[in-house]
Amino acid sequence: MVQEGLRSSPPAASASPPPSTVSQNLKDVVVTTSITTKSKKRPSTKNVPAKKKGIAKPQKKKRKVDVEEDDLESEIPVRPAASSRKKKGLASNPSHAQVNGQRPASIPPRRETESPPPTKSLPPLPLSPLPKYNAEGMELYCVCRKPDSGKWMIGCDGCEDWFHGECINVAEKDGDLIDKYFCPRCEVSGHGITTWKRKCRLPVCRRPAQVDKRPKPSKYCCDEHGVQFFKLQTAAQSSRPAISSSELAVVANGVSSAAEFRRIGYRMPTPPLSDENFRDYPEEIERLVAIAKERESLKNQRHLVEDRRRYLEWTHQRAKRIHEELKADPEARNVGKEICGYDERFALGEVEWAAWRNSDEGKEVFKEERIPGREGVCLKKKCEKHGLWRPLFMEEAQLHERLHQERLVQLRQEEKKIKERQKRRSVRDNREGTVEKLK
Amino acid sequence: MNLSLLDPFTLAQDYPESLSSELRSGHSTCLDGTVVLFDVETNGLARYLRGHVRQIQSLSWSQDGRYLASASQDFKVIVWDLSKNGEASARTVRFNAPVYCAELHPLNPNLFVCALFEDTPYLVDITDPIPKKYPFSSAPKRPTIPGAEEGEIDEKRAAADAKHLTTVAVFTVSGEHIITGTNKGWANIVSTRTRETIHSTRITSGCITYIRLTTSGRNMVVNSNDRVLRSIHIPDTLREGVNGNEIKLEVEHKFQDVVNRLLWNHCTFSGNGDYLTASTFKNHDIYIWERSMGSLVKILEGPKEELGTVEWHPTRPLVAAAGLESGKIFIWATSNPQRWSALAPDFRELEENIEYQEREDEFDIHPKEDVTKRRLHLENEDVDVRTIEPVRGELEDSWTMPVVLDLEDTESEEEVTVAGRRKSPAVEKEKRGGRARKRKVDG
Repeated sequence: MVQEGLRSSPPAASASPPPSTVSQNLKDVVVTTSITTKSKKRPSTKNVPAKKKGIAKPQKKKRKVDVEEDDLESEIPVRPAASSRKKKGLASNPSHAQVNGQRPASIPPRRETESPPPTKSLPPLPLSPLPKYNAEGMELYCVCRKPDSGKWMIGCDGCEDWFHGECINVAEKDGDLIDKYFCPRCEVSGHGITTWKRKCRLPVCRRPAQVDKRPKPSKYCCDEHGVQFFKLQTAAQSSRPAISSSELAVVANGVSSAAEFRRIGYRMPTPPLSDENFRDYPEEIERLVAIAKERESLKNQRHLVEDRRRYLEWTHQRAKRIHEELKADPEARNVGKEICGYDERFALGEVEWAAWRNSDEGKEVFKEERIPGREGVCLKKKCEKHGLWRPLFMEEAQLHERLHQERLVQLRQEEKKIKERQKRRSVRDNREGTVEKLK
Repeated sequence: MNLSLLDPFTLAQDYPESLSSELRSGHSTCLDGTVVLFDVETNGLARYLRGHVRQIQSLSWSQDGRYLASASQDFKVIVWDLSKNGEASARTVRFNAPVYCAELHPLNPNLFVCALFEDTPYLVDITDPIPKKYPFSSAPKRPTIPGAEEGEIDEKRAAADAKHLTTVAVFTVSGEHIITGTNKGWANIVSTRTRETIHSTRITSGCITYIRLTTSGRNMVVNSNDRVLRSIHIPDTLREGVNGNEIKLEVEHKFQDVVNRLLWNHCTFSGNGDYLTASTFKNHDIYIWERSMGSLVKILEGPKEELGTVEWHPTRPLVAAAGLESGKIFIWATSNPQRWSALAPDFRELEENIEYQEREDEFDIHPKEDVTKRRLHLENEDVDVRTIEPVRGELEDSWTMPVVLDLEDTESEEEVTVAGRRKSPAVEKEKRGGRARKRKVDG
């Protein structure tokens, strides 16, 4: 009896639908993967537990090239995209001597050439049962229907049968990586599909990652592999490494979360506030206080300037209104096209204006947004004295606005310079040390 | 060069001779209202004062040079405090009309007098945050008619007097009186304290356009649009509380251009009051007269353009004038040619080559010790390199303006042509006091 290890193609990568075909034999079987956390079922009543999966047997035959390509970079559990499954093996080993002369499951091979439907909607096919015992009464296992020969086997979670690693193309060392194994028959009949656990991120390691670890699941099988992985990363920088590993250690230890780690590069770091060498000179503190005060008063002034500008607009309306009134007035002399409209309130200085603005009359005017009455208004037709006063005050307001902006910028720059100087001084003191003056 | 090495005759020259340099600020004579301060020592930009939006009509320094009052057509007078930078450096006083001129009180920088366009003149006190404006009348005080009582005046005269408008107002040197000129040609003397007109004289029939006093306060020049400059002597009796009727303003000399009958643009005195300078209308010259004799001393020529305001330096023989078309400021000074004979005692400047006849013992060989002893003896004296001798006329301990290091650049330097003609921008040098740093101002 020729034992033919079933050569089957390595299962394709789970994320990409087209299966990779390395089959030397006829059919290819694609074993799809998904990340689940169910543990494998163990057969409960087996009298030869030593021969089962999990016990390392030295019979390591030549193993087939193995499982799917690593796609553990993606954190999302990948749904099996496609599974074109063939009924494997049973029809391809006609040479297996079968017990009772019964051909194992003369199931017509289903060749699926078109793109496979999703796994969930496979209709269960009628499968004839496999023989369990041979002529001598020994239990038969695996697709090859041989009694237990001591080779490493894995148990199917669907049918309780056991399968040699060689026959189903699962390497013994990858046994830990299998999450739940369903034999080909169970897959076909729809009991389930084989799922794999996520592999440790270190490329050479084939142990499963500790996704159960609390509080956070880990991508590594052990902490040492995590460290080793990052050592490889930092060593693998092709250009000159921007940061040495000790510096990286300092940076990484200084942050409290991964998100914060990613945010590090956005801004220049500031020296810690509780720096014992951080001395500020008293004149710097005075200057900073003075700058803050000036900024406040500039803000107030801007409000006043803004108020004046609005008042200016309302005088325009008022001039028109008075003009209308005068025209309607029978006693008035000939009224020209417009009146001068200059308001004597424009001659008020800053303090007086602020006082008027806060008075009841001022508040009233600003609430109503119009100015009643005509006191203090120049009513001349062609006024030489107040010629072109309107564009004059508009320009004045604009100039003040501009000067305020510039002054604010100047103050901000000065403040920044003082702070910069303080920081640099503290850094220098930290590095070089300070000299204390003895009194 | 060292003062002692200069030719004493050139040193004694009081008035400048030739054009020496030019100053430019990007916007000079562009009528936008910026005040630019130049430093006289370096001819460099010292300060840039922004606050006005229309052209500046007049500038006035305080006694120590710390405050500067600028009056502009945008209805405002701003008193700048040059020791501060930023918000607190400017005090603004607003009026109801464009301001013709403003002058700071000689002793109190918080007080100034200003004349408005078609409005009453004011005496303003800015000691408090709210400025106090005191108007005073432009009407001249008529001498009492014999037979009538003090205060009674003719009806018609009163109506005519009401039409007077003050065009210029200056303080006397003590600050106790204000001298104003009206548009009808009258000069009024007003008491500062009471703001009453105590004396009036009719000086001219035209409109008085400018009045300027000497540093000593004894003379003043009046410019009017009848093309005559009058220098007037102010009596020493003009003090506080004097009776107005006893004052008499006498015209000493009249200066006019008899050839072309030109109008005078601007006039000023020299620092010590000996010379009177004036610039002409539509002409390129500056005239310098000697005031006491009334004789023409020099005509300064230089740029081929009309000059507006002209100013004389308070202590040095420098004259600055603003060109109306190009916007540059021209400076005339005395030139000190290098005298090579001053560098070594036995240098002599020659007109032509002469054959040298050596002395009898010229090339004798003297013993070495004598020569070295003589040389060492000469080297023993200490050379004093530290003391700075004050230039005559300057005060020892006056205020100097702090240097602002991060001055922004003035805007583009392309040529700007001046639009208007009548109101030319003001160019002034510091009039009183001030130590090594003198400044020129241009608006």
